[in-house]
Amino acid sequence: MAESMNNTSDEKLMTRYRTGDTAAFDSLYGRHRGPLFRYVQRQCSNHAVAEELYQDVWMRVIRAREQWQPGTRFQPWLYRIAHNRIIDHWRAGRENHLQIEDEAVIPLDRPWPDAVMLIRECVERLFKLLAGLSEPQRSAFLLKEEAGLSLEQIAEVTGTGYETVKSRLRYALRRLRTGLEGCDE
Amino acid sequence: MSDNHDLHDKQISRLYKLGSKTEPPHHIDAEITHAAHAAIPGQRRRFIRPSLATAAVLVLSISLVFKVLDQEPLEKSVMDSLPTDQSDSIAQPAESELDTHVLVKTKEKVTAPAAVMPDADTTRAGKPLPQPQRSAPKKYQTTRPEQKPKPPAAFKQDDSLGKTQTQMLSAPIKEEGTKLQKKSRMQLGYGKRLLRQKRKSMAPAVTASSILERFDCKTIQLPDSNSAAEWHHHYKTAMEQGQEQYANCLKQTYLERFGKALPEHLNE
Repeated sequence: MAESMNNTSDEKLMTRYRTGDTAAFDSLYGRHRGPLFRYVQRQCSNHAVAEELYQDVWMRVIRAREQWQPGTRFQPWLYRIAHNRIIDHWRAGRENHLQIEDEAVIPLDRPWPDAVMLIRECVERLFKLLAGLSEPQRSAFLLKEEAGLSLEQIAEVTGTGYETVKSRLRYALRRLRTGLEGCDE
Repeated sequence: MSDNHDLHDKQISRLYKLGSKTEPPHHIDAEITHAAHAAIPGQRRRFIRPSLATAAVLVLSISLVFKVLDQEPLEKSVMDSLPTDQSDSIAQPAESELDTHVLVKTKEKVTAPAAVMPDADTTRAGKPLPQPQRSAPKKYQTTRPEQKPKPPAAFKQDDSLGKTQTQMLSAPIKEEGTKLQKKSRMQLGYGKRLLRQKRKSMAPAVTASSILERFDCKTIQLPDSNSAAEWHHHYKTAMEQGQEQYANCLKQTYLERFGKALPEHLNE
């Protein structure tokens, strides 16, 4: 059963969940929990708020399961819900700007050896730079890197045009490359 | 596709993936999955749907069985109770199936003839016939205490007795009853057959007066003698024994045979 779930597409799992198969949801959730959580987390400086938003996104998915059309792709639909939730959060003024502070930098999971301290430093710098991006640029970057969405899908999620997404991504990468000078080795 | 490739920076992606190991806390995972399971009562539905269908089929089957059984035993009970105690078999189904209004009406029609049923038993036993017109009002009174029974005097007259009994028998058929009454009567199975039997059992009591009126004087045994005293003796004895019709026949035959009336009093 678990193996068959692994080979099943997101869309089929979602369809099965709509018809009452809760195991399908479990499998679906297991696939997207990490990337979605990180996507939300990168958009918020407050860890507790990120958890709250992340949970709320899944609750919306659960509530909106009947609205999901089997013909549509699940992942863009999921991230659109997350994106809208984050936009709502920002518009509510609860968090005006991501503060580029040491606390805002996501700590790395494990201690790295001294040999790779440079890499760790580069990673931390990347997240600082990421937090300093504008929300649209950051969203476009995160949707591409974290969710693995195509430009078309990013445009669909963010409700913008293809060229706009391309432009945002280009600007984001330019700023990140500039900030990550010396990390090429 | 080429745009995707152009906008992909391997170095940045590698650095990003190295730092992207965080995952949601387990308690949030548990809350979300719990909410997802609770939102879909699909598993319960799957159990409920067949059980509902099964229950519906069971209810229909049981009601059908009851309906069939409801008809058969009643008919059987009526048939079985006919030779023994017909009053019970008639009254019980009426009470169980009809409401009070219908029950009263049914009893009004049914119990009167039913009250005569014991007479048939006593007749078979060789006992003298009790007055059927008295037992019927008694039963009638017990079932409908709010209504006063008709005075027995009305039953003493032969004509009125005949009419009343006939009405009581024919009323269930002629009178407009509710559909429920008709249906219950049909279900009980005592319709025509039972009424016919009741008429049969009541026939001697009901038609006794009419028989007296149409007494066939040719069938009675007349005195062989031409003596007026003997004829008078027979006449007097018949009157004393209450055989008025016989006495009348004697008078009538005496008049026809001897051309003069039988003297009611002889100078002895």
